[in-house]
Amino acid sequence: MKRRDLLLYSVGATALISVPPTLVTFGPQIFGDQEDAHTERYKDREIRVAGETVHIDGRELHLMRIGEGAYLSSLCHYRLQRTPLDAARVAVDELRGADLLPSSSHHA
Amino acid sequence: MTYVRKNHLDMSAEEKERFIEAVLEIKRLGIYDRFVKLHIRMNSRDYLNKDGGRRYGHINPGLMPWHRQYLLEFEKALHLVDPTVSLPYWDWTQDQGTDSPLWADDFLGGTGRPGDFQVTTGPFAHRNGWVINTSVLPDGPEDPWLEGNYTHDDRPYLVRDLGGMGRLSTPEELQETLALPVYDSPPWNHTSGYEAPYESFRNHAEGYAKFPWETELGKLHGCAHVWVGGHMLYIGSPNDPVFFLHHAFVDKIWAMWQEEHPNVPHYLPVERTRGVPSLHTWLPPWFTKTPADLIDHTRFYTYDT
Repeated sequence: MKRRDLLLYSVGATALISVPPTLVTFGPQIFGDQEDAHTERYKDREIRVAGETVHIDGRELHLMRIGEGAYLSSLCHYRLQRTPLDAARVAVDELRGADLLPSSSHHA
Repeated sequence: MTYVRKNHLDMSAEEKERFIEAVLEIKRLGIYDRFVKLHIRMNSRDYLNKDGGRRYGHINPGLMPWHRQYLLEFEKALHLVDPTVSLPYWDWTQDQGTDSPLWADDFLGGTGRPGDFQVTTGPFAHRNGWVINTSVLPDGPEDPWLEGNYTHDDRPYLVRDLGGMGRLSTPEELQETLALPVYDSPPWNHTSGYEAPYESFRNHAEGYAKFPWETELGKLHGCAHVWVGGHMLYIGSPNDPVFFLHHAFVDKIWAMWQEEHPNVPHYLPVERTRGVPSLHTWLPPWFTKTPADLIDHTRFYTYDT
């Protein structure tokens, strides 16, 4: 196995392991606040929005809040979306079946 | 020695061929993807720091000088393989058709096919050898500014959806922004120049500010990214070579604005300012030029009109 593959695996594993703590962190919001926690199937993909963290099929979408009701993601970087959920749906539209890659920046 | 940047509509067939060949060659050499990585890295950091952290290339006054140097460095790379080429520009206020020579098979190729919107024509079609690198991991002990991501998804092919979303800005919309007499203003971010007297040419040109009579954000710089769609809409926008023709026009807009306002500061802030480049800040990752060095583009090149 090449070093690059090892890296890929280790980052993937970190991403998987980091899911439960994320749920714990946002637990109160998920179970207490409808607006801040949401899971849905959209175009056969699983979208999970907890606060300002978005996952698509378990992979984190690089999301940036640019102002009140204004979000950008790595898949829609030049057109503002009103909510993280809107940004998640646009990202699914744009992926057209492709997968997000594990992002190193959030697990460094 | 200075050279001329032309509207792509005025390039000869030979000029187009040489430009495309030079782009393909720096892609083969791995240089092109380093530019993609650098832009993604800078972009991510700029947006995360928009409310006060350090930012250089986006949502701050540095937009114009940082991209001017980015294009100069890109052109320098092209010159390594062919010293006769220069970056053409795409004037999207006038040249708005999906049937423009811009999208012809002998230049940038056309829109994506139905379904996956994969570009299948021209030199940047995957089937013709243009591959989007999909690594998202830092891949070596190089300058940290150059480590990081190419893309955030696993598609190895270029995606476009010309005209599928939104519309391009008009010459009138460009004139309204060119008429603004102040380059930029505090808080030096995406909220600058929101309200009358709209003191941010930069933020209106970037597309994060609008006039009350405009219904949506995203004009000028922003609209071309959205109109081309696909990779141009994503954080990895330089994966589509049209990025460089688009930003050459944004660069020309800064030059046009200077010409229209000869007696105002052509870059602000002049004094050291937290978070954003001032007139005399060395711009990363090169640290060879400051905005002051970049204000006058005629030191390096001229525009045809």
